[in-house]
Amino acid sequence: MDCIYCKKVALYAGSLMLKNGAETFRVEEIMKYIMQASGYEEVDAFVTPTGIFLSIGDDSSSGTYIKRISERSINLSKIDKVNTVSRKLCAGEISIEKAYFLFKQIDLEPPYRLIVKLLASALTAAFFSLLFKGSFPEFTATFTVNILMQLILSLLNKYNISFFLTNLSGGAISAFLSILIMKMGFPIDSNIVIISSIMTLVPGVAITNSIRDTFHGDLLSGVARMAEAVFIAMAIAGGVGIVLNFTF
Amino acid sequence: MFKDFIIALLACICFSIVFDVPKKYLFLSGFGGALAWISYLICLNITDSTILSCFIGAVSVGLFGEIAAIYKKAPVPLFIIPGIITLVPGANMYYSMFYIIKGDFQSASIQGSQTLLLAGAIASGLIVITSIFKVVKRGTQNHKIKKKIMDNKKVKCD
Repeated sequence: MDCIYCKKVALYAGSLMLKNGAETFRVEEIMKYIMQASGYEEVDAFVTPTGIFLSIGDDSSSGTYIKRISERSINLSKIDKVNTVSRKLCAGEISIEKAYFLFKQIDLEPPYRLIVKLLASALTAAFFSLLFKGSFPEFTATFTVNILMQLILSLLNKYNISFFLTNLSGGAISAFLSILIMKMGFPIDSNIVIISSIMTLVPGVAITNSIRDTFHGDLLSGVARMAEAVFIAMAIAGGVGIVLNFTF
Repeated sequence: MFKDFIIALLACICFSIVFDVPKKYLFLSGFGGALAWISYLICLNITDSTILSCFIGAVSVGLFGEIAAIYKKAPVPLFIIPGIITLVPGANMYYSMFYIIKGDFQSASIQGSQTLLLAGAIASGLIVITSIFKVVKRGTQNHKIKKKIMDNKKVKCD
């Protein structure tokens, strides 16, 4: 098989996984497997959260390729699907052309619809208010606050605003709305409402991935993702703090 | 307790939708989160230590995630990421900010250090499971390779 084509498929699969929030070692392994499945034994992949390096060292066709990843989101469904396709490719069940076609299909696949995601996020927050010893008024208040916050954040996301500002405004909006609802005279505990509605913003993915990366020996990615988690947490706390500062 | 389990299950299933977990895994990843929350509550009842309980919760969700991943042949984060959310110390983070604004720095530092310790507890809980499973997986792989070599030898002998 043509080296250029294989490298294209491997880089495509790798960038697809990294963009959607896979761990570093998984991306590296998948690119290596794809190259090895098409007969290139001396392959090295080096992945950081912001870029991919792929080097092929066989005598006839050597070279190093770089792919820069600038946008990152989380879509666990795509990770699962790319994983399945590359498993099949390595087992020899499908050809590399078919795999490339499938990867393209996975890339174009739409996520859950925005309205479904908004409702899911709002329901998550609302159920959390029950776990934090709230009752029905808090449940409804959290639902409203979170759905409004996520709506505003999804509008902000269209303009490619940095993650720090998005999380800052998320914290600020949820604190503002909760306090507004309380001041309007509804019998709610604003603390519970704020805590539950920021639960959907907290950096669970960054924490999990940074731990998994660090313990696979990918120290660079582990530290980078840990820094991301810390910054997100700081942004949320800062956003809430700004609003609380004005109301006390 | 049962009510809590159901609420945590629903919360985690909804949270999995936010992260686009495929429909066939929604229930499993929600179940992991509910398991984490329940083991957290049980441990809290027995030991009265939030940090230890958080550690136990992280261990249970990690264990569940690894086993589910092997069973379903899917990547581990699919089950751990939505599951971990019930344990993340959002409340402590909020209260430390709250006390800073109020000017009560003693309470703020207590809550702040609690946040860091809880995050550390989650991290170490996941680490324990991840490293155990890494050893187990390597063991099974070595076994498979040895078996392959043995089979090859047998063929040659025949």
